[in-house]
Amino acid sequence: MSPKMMYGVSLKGFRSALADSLLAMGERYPNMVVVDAETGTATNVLDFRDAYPDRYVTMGIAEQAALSFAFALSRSGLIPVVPLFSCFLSHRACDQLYVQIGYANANVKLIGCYTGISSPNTGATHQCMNDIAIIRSTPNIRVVECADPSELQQAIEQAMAYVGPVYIRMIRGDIPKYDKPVLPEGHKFALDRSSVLREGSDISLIASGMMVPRALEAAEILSQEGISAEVVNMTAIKPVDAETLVATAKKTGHVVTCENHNIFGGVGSAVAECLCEKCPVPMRLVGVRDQYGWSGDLEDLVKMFGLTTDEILRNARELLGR
Amino acid sequence: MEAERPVYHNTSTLPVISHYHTPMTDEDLRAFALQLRRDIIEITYYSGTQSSHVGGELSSAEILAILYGCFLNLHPQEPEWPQRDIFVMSKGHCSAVLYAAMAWRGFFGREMLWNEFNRAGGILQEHCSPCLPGVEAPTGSLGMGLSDGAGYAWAAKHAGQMDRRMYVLLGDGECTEGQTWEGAALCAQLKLDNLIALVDYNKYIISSTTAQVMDLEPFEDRWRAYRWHTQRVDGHDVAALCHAIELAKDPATAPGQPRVIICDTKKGAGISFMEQDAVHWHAGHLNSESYQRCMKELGL
Repeated sequence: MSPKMMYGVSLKGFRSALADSLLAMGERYPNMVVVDAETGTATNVLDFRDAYPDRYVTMGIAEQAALSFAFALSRSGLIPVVPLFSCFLSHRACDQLYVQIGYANANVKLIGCYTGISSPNTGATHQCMNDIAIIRSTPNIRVVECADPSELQQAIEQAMAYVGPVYIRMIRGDIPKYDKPVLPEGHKFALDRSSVLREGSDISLIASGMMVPRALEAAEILSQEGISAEVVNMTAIKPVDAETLVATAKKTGHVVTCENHNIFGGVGSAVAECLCEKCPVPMRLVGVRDQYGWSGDLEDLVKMFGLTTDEILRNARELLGR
Repeated sequence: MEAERPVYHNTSTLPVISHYHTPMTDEDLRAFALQLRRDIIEITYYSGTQSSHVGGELSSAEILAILYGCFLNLHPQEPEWPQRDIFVMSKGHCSAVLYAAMAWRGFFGREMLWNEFNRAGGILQEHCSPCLPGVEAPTGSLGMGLSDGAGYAWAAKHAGQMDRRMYVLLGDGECTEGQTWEGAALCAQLKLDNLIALVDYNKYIISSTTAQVMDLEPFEDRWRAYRWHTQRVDGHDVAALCHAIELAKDPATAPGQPRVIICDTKKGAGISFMEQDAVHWHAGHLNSESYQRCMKELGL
């Protein structure tokens, strides 16, 4: 069977994993409800609507109502899952997120789609560069990001089992070279753990989401130069997995963080906040450097915003004085 | 381990004039509304800041008296009782009147009213906090309550709980918030005829009259255009309010339509100098002199 298409684009990868996960969780949890605000076609959650029409509610294009509505469902014994474009979830509904999800410690599962530059044909209004910064500074809400579709499925499964608000960050898709499974068979995700994907002793590349395959590629190139790089898949953005971060920093003494997000307030900031208290080491931050998004071909955009293997390599070499 | 009991210092010396009982006559409800007004003034005076959003608290006294006195089916000893009716104080600035009504129904002891409001470590927050059992939504950032009510109402229908009712109290000021109208459209689209919104239409927003700042009129037409069953009553007339809520509660009234009762009220109602200077008394501080003046007007 050929993969499902939308507007001529395949919905495989992350979006397919999201649809499959929601269907599986809908079967496991009869009290799960999907609250949408008319991004469901793009985020690929309409299969859930078709399978469970009595447990799917759309607000129209009204993200603020969506979060308040979800809060009340969570107070009524239901588990609302809210998959929205991350920009509208964290920007448009920021106040509702702060007051009615975070402050209320509501058992709502938020899924932020189209994060960073990953939706090339949209631009600044849709490419969310600061969702981590906003949600990470909202007490009570856990923040995780996944490196590949199989990890996303595990994250959704564990978020459903956890009682409390969780924000899961996902991309729309990557360029073909990286738009594939990157984690080893049998990889186990945990909400509060980040994982070491490759052991190394000279430098730590701590990456999240779509930057994980680039960090792995950079580590491979560095090894050919005689540099042993450790790669951490930083899934646990809040709370951070301090044990894994401190262990890798102690071991290598050098850290490069890599994120598809503004370096102000994102993954690099979270790592720096942790290490500056527990194990300060020299660091470099690879990510979006305080810019708005741009619409264009994704291959060009990753270069334009410096979200490349080359940029990781440049920072790693500079940090090591090579 | 038993929780540490707070040591309270402030005590009201005023007589309590109303106790929870059922059924309530109109006379009983008027006494309860007066009790709520006295409590609002005392909560304000004894609070850590000697202040509250007193004008809007006073304008909604009869509405709260009727809801907590006659209509809300609650188990105060079991605040999360799944069959309960829901009350969302969307105009979350007006928490003192809610706390007073909750204490009256037995959610917590009255001594908390004089000791916990606007105090560091006190549980009675100026804006309705989710930390207090019986408060159904964190509000104060305005405009959210109707969407909350929609969620509660949809969930009740989803669970087949046809006897439950959801009540949302809005201020006219917050009807200038966009999300209020997202919620209004949502309630109509989802056919939430188990939801009753009440608007405390005291005609004032913060800086001036609502008409001068952002006129809501024709207000009834607006709700009708959003496909709501619409009534308009004197918000200080307990008999008229009761009648309107009875009609709104009846499933045979406009099946499939959410209900709104626009309540014409006075900001600062019951205290003449506040009614006459409602802009100044949107949120106000009370000193011993103004406190005495209020209490004199409230029959003491």
